Amino acid sequence: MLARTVFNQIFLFKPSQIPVSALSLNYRSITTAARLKKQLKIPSTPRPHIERPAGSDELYKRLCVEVRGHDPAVLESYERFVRLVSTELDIQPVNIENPPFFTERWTLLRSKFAKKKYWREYEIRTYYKKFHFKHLTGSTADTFLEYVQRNLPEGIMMIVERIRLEPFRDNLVSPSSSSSSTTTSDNNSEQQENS
Amino acid sequence: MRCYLSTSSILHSWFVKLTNVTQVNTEAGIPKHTRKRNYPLTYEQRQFPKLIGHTKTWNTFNTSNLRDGKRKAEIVRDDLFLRQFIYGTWHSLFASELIIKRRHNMIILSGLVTRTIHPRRMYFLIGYTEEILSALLKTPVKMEIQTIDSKDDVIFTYW
Repeated sequence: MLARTVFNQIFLFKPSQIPVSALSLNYRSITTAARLKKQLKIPSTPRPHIERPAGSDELYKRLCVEVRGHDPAVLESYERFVRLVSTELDIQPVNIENPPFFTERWTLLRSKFAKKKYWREYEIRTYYKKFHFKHLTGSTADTFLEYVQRNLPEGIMMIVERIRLEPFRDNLVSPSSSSSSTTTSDNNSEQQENS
Repeated sequence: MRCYLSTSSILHSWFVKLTNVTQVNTEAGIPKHTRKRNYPLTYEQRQFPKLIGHTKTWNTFNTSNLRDGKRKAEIVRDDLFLRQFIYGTWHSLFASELIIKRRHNMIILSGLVTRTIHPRRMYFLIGYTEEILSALLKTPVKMEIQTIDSKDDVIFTYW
């Protein structure tokens, strides 16, 4: 039997069977939102403050509620609950997705001492479920998320991803409306006066 | 509880090797049949560890072992402390294992308790455990127990 080094684990086992610690040595647990942020290389600058008319609500283009658990039966009953809640609040889910489950496998010795020939396979399964919603207002989304999170059963993890609509800033001008195409500071001030 | 499995420190030493069946062929969580077949087992004890996930669930419910779950070690440490605390505070009153559920930042303890003490003392115990554990673990702790008449009510089979 080959030594169970990190590299052997990556080369010998299928990608789904590689334990998480062997894959990523820099960070161990990272949420889906943080993983996407790293992929898209979103810089960690503070959100710019944009004036919004008083009394107006935030608008969400998409709301994705991802729920994870060890027990698929619990996730199915939670899906029925979320369907009821969404019909009550009049927000129909666009899509309810069942991504494939993830298993973390450990192969450990069966005996306390010696007996290297006999091992035992353990696995830890994480089942997923995703609820997709479209075109919600801020207050609707907040109410829905509040109610759905208060009734989250024990042992179930929830990750929420929201895509918000922001107004276009005034100093951003489309190229067709400006007179010159050079990018010196004098011409920029001219463009602002023209448009 | 009476233990029919003897554990000896000379089981795997270099100068003595034991070969008796009761000490060598042992497996965690699975008791051996007694000669008189009168060792009581609850339903949970009869479902051996290989049936976890099939006819047996876990005794703690938390999200630490899911993918991207946080605070694995802290939750295990708190679980061990809670079990020992309840075992010592409720003197041989619990007839089942303690079930620990974690919702948001709350810890909810449940289990089957025998009605050997006066209800007023039981209310005091509930309040005392909730207060002390909330102060120690810095999270709201609630107890939701069910009572049974005696420990004979939870016996499932005799092994």
